[in-house]
Amino acid sequence: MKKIAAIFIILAVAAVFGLVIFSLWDTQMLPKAVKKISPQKIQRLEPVKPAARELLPQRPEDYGMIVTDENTMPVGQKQYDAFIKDKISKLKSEYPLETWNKVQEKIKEDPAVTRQKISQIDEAIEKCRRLLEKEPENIEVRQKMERLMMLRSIGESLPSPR
Amino acid sequence: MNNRGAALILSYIILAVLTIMGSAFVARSVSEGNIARRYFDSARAFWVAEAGLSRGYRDVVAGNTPADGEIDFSDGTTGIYQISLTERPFGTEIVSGGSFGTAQRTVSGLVYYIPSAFENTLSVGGNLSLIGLLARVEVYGKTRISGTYSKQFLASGWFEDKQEGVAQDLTTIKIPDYNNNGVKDEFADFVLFGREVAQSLPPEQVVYIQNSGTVNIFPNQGLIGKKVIFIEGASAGSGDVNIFFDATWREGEDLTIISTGDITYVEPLQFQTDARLSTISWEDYNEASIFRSEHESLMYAHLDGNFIDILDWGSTTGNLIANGNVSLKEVLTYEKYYFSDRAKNGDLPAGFSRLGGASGTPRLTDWKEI
Repeated sequence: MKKIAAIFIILAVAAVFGLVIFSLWDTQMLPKAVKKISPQKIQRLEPVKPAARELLPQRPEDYGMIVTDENTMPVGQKQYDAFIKDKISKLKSEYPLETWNKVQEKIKEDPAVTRQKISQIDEAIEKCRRLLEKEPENIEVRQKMERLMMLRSIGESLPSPR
Repeated sequence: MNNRGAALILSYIILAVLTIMGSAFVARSVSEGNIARRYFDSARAFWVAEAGLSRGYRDVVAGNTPADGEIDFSDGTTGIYQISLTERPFGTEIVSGGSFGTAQRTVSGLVYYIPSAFENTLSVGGNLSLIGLLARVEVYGKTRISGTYSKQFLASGWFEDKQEGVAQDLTTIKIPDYNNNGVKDEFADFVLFGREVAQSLPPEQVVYIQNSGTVNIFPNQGLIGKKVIFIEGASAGSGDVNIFFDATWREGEDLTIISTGDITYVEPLQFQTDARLSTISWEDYNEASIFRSEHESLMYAHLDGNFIDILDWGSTTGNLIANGNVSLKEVLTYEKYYFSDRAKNGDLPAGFSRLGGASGTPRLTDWKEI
């Protein structure tokens, strides 16, 4: 009898304690957005100030970016090939095969067509080179040649059924 | 005798326990009532704040100064909203605080005037030229050119709706006067614009790089979740960016790259659902591809837009806005441009709402609860 009474008391006290704790905890679960204020204490809104967060420069290499300048930028096709092929091979190792299969599916074309495109790019690069010999300061042609070399490297490096 | 005593004590204890339990239940009921009331007040305060924001937007667009007001509910209760305005170079910020009962909620938004250029698929402040053999370009939506359109023999262009000689106000976007010196469209304004965009977003969504060289970006996992990359060069034209094929981009990514120099997009390969990569450059926007390419973007170039050396077919969905000329050179392929009205849909990529000015179609954007 005493044992039953003791167990009953312990259970009852535990239940009451749990109920009180739960009530207190539940009260704390109000959303943070709900601010309890008195209507008399509503303050006049201040105009929004321009964003004042400090802007700290970050390092490009932390995001896989490669910075080149006049001294380090690729100047020839071989350098572009090395630059882009190297990066693509790193990306390939970082991503699942499924991603690259999707890429391959998207750019799928007859290898002969790809070779023809690369040959057209070679012709265009050669034209640019000849123009630059006459006009070394022609920035537009120089930039065009750089883009052609980038495209050639991508044409050689991106996975495609060959 | 002992048993009777124990029963009495047990009865007292049970009575005490029942009393405590009853009290706890009553306390809990009162607490739940309070919680429900505060939720109710909070929800109403939110909608009162929303009403204030809506009223503020209507007044700002109409050129009036918004006044504070009350919202009467059908049950006889009343909520109060208070509105404050801040003029910014790119629009007007509205903050509306709503109060109801014991709760207060605050929301804000930006009245942004969508430049007319956003209404066009191709928006050209200078001339549009199509140069190349066996090239075919199709442009759906509006093409608006302040200069003229020309094409080489054997190249063909099809435009759903093309107009030449359009006023530059309708085809170009001038950078707002961020340095407040009374002159728009200066390089200093552009730098402050880029910083404003970067500062307006949470730090984890921004990559801010000061560099005058060429930054080569290969969109990868390190850029997932980023909204803005701002490459700030020391002088106008420096800080060029090359973006290389973005096949490794994830679905739903929506990144804007801002550069104080040129931006060149090499081999766009966005085939992921809802993935976007937009650009804002102080100088040129260039695009080149060798394989089939497709991407959804808003591209703004303060100078020229050059689609060059395209050797395959591709499609671009979005807007190209170039304050200067747009040229489609050496196109040996079939290129299509489709319109995407992200401005009117209130779905502008990060940064573009900061390019607005004092005129255009008004929209409320940048909504947030403070």
